[in-house]
Amino acid sequence: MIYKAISADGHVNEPPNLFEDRLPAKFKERGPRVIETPNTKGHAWVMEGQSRPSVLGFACMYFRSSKRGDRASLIDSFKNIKDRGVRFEDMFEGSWDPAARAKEITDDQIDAEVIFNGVGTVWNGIKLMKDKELSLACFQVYNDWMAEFQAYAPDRFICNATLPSTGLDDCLTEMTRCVDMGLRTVQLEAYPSGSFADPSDADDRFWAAAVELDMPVNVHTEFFFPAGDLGSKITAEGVPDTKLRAKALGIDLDAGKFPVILYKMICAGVFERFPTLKFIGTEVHLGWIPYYLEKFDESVLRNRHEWNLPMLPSEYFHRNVSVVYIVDEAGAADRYDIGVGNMMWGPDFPHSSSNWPVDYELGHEILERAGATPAEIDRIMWRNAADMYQLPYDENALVAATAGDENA
Amino acid sequence: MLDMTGYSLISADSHVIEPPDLFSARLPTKLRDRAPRLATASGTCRWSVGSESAPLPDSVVNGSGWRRPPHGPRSFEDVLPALYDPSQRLLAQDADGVAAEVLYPFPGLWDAIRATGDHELILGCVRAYNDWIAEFSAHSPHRLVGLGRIPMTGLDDARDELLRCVKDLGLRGIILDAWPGLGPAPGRGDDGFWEVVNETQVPVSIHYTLGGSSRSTPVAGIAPGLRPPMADAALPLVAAGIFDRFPNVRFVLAHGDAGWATHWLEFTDINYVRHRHLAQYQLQNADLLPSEYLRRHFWFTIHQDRSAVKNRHKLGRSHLLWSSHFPLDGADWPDDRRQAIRLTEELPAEERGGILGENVARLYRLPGFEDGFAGAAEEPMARLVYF
Repeated sequence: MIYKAISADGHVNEPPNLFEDRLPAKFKERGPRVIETPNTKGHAWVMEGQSRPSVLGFACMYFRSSKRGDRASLIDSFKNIKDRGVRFEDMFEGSWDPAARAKEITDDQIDAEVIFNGVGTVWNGIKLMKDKELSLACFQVYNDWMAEFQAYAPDRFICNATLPSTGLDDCLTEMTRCVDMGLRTVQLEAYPSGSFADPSDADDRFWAAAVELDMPVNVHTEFFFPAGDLGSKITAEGVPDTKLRAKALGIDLDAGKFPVILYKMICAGVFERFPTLKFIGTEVHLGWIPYYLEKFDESVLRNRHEWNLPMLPSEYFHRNVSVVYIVDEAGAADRYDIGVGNMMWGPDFPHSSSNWPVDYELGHEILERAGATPAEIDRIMWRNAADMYQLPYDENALVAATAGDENA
Repeated sequence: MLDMTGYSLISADSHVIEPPDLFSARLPTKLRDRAPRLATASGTCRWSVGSESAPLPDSVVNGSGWRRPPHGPRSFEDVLPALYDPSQRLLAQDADGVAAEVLYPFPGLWDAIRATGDHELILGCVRAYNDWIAEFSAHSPHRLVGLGRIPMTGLDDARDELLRCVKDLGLRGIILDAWPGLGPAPGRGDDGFWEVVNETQVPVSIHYTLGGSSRSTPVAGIAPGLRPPMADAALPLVAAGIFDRFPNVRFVLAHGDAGWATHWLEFTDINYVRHRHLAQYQLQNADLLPSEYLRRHFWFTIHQDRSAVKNRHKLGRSHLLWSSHFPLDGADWPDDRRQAIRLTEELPAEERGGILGENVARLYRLPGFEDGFAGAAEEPMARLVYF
């Protein structure tokens, strides 16, 4: 058996009653819950500690109008993208119902999917809760639910544990609990110690455990999405309001972006001490990587006396790091600089960046346009993900299929 | 074709170091007690102005960021004379196989001057520098291409100094540190400034950052190889309709390479195509994508940037300008030529000639290239986004 496509990036949207139904009695009133937004007639999450609602917008959109093979309808469907004013009943049911989800990904020719939390929905609020016990309970509720979701079709869903940012011990304990429940990868919302800014020596206990458990460690784009108290309308100038709000809360948003996290992880020697650690940047795209690695290496070579690690940054990247993209023409063209084995395709379904139900078509087409061989396309569209998440496939069938392509 | 005997290699981003008497000799008398001063304290040679200070970089001693000297200049006598003496500069260019250089000042000094917030002093210093760099360039106008600074003291000062730089001092380009009217974003209020830029067609440089300083953390964080902060100034210019109203306005994003820009351009287009109905910003020409505005009106200086060279067809072959960065950062005087050759060794001769000299000669209309890009073959823009 081989696959057609494995999405390395999909999302749930937490159902509205998830936390109220499952939190311990003492926390029920204080956890995340859903309200109506009066002006935009949409839904939003509110919770203790957040003064502004996290509105449903980019994090949960859909285009039902686009049809496979009909690109005009796809471009037309972009008009449906909303940054606010989205309601739960507008969403795909597969956002929370695994049976519906299995059908939805089948419609997009996807065999299996790595599934992450809803990012911009509840997670800023949960991480920033003052009451760490309440915060931890929310992470646990979510992970329990993900284990149930995955159990519906473990051959098709690879569900992420979202690890608590409440401290190193909590993070380690929760990782072990999630592995015992059968979850197959973990997502960091902060460095393992709980810091949103810097790795620390103490984190080594976590990296060691991840290696021991053979758990791939994901960072999904960045530690903070623009939502809740960190939200604002995006303009041509970017999101300056968001930065100012974050600064007032003592958060450096730039420090939580994947390229900066990767820089700090490499400089801290994490990959030198844990050479088999699997570290994944999901929805980080590709086109920036060749120049980033070129300059990172150059800065090390130019300041060699200040660099105490035996390998170059690009060498750690190529050995330890994988990156996931949605659509990326530049990255597909520069795949040899990034590493064909370091790239995984993941269309971000059902978020607004997804092109369902033509994600598979677009993904394939971009690689073909860049001149990728059938074997390279297999690697990027599913095989790297199958290897990463240990999904079974028949290597002999793969050779036969590729040979078939060449004879065609 | 490039005249290989005249301009085989031009650096689009090199630096001078301001001589110690520049301000004390040229500022109006009433400002002289506030003038920036160069002095050595605890073994370090540094500029001081008000409560601000800026140490000279170590590499001004030998012009190389790769073979850095054991310590920086202990006094101004340790600074390479080529950094402030025009006849010495020509010898340094000869030693490096460089035919001409576009000259920027020492950024740290100007961050310090700006940080004083003393508008009278800032304006005086800018005018003194512009007079000095004009004299420096006049020593050999086809090899020393000094750029004028625009003061950060308000629209009228900016416009007046722009006119003075171009019409009176004969400078071929200018450097912008803030929006001319000092607003947070480019708006219609600055049109009086862009009108003059449009009419004189003088390239406008942003050197690494606009509105920040070289001492502030880059917006993308501290990691190397990310988008330089000056890129954040580009899309607001497009969104403000500057290029629709003033089609001859051209920008140079200096000292920041271009390898990052392929991704930036692609994702700027993707975001626009998907989100334009959310009206984050609008384009007046509905037939163009934002990257097409950007690629038409922006040039990039590149140093050790193989990624940009490789993706030159996406960025625009005529929009990449090699630079040595002499004497800062990764400059490697007197071996910059070797690096330039290595960087471009796989290119066809014509494209190599463009990136190493002809593009910058056309942009600044250097002798022999007075017509600029008129008459040069215009290449079609590569498509960056497919849906």
